[in-house]
Amino acid sequence: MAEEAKILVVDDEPDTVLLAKRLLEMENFQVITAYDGEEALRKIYSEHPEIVLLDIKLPKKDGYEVCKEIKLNEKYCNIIIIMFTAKIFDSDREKGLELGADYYITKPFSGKDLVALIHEIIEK
Amino acid sequence: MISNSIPHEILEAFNRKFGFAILIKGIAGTGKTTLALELLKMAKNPFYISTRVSPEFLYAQFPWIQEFLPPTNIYNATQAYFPTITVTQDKQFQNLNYDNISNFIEMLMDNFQQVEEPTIVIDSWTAVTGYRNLDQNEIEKFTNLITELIRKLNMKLIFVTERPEISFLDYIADGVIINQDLRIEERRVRVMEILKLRSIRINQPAYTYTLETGQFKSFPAYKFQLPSILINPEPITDPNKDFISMGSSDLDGFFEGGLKKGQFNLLETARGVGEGFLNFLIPLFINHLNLGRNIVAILPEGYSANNFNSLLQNFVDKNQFLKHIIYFDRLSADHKDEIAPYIQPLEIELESTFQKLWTKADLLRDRDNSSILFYISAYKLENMYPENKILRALSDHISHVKENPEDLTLVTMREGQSLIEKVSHIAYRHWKVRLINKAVALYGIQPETEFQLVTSDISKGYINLKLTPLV
Repeated sequence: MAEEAKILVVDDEPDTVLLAKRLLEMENFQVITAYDGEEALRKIYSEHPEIVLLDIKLPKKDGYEVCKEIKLNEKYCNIIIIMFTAKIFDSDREKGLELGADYYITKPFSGKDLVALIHEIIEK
Repeated sequence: MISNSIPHEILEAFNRKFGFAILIKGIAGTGKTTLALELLKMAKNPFYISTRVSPEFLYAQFPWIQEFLPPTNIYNATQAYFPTITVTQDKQFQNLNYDNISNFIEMLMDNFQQVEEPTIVIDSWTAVTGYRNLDQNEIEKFTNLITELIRKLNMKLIFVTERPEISFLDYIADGVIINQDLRIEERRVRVMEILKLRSIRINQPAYTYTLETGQFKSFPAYKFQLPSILINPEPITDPNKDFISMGSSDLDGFFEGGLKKGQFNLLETARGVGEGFLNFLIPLFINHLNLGRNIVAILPEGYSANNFNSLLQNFVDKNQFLKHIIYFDRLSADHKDEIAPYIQPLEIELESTFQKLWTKADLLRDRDNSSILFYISAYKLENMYPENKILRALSDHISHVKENPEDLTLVTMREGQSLIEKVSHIAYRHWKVRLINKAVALYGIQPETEFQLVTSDISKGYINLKLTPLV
């Protein structure tokens, strides 16, 4: 995966999207954004990001549905999905990972840790 | 409609797709026109009918309305009062000439029924109905007619009136709001009460608002919130050599430069503020630590060193900050041997606790040659030690801090603690935080100040405290 990987950030909270965008752009990643599940799928199919930072609680289609659709699609199933949510129950994490999410992080999370995780994914 | 200034119940009413009449009332100077204009700002097709002031005066008083309200959407209906006023040449305001209410309604329909979803402010309805000394029956008849028509024509109408008493319009309008200018603890408070909003659930019937910078801004219920993504902020340097920054430029401004070195400061929190004091404490701690300084803290009730670390660690250098902080907490004898080096037990005797606190502070000061911020939760002390001993210890502490003029102390107390009066007398500054209609307000007891409404901007990944004067 190229160091200047394309990352899609999906969250319905504009502040979180803008913050993640700013943070990742400072690390020279290409960042695209979406604010609901349907827009996320459209951007995935048209822009082909390598990594998707995906909130679970989204309008129109939730993060679980988006994750399931991507991971069941042969053409896109290699996209790395990092799910994040304010939910704290183990069952939420398990559901996300069962649907094919590669990583799962809980809000609030450190910007430094997020950047470190993405660098680690890219190095792998 | 999207707005951070208007309560969500009112936005919900205005976002509905059918005609709606709302009445804004209140005595002079309560911001009725400012609120009406704030509502117009979000309308698809905004119109303003001015019966009291000329459109030119309106633009002069509210220059920000020029962005969304062109002169062609302002109707000059002042001729009843100011027949000599003429429209200026450079701005094409509309003239609305009417001889009676019937005529006024006809003109309203002629001008707006072809417009898609118009929102019209009539400022003021009192002036429209009042200038020909109509009898009450006639006023009620026309009021009824106009509200029926706006529902049929899918218009949104905002009536503004100076009469706070209940009138016929209160019964037939879909929504009624009253703006009030009140006094709490001899300080000005502006309160907007939502008396009625047909078919909308009113979760919060009263909101505190300000007219700062000539615009209407209401404040929702306070909620302590961290950003989803936590970023280490750039430290704010001290405003000057005598003060230490509070970690917020607004707070530094309000506190006349931050917290004064060598002094003892008291922050009192009223019932209901709950975690609100963390809004002050967390940015102060983070900024102090990010400037490489040290903190010695007697933690508040309900917070352990681990709680505090988890709040701080993502905003500071994770690997370094524990070298710069020492927590004093209530610990059981069983666990005293297992605790981390940055945690110290509160001793059975308060004198011993303070001796240890000063010794630890001396060690940090000698090591780093930097100032110490002492944070003391007096509520925690009051739950553990006799009052006379607390007062004595705090007095001794003041002397200790004065010996080290780069250090400073912040004590927090809860409203109603029996020691407050006495501690206030020995404090250099005494501030208080309270809720007003669920919004957080900060004000000075010593020195006395007006209310400042507190909000927390977390859009940049850290808590940036903002203060807005309640004017």
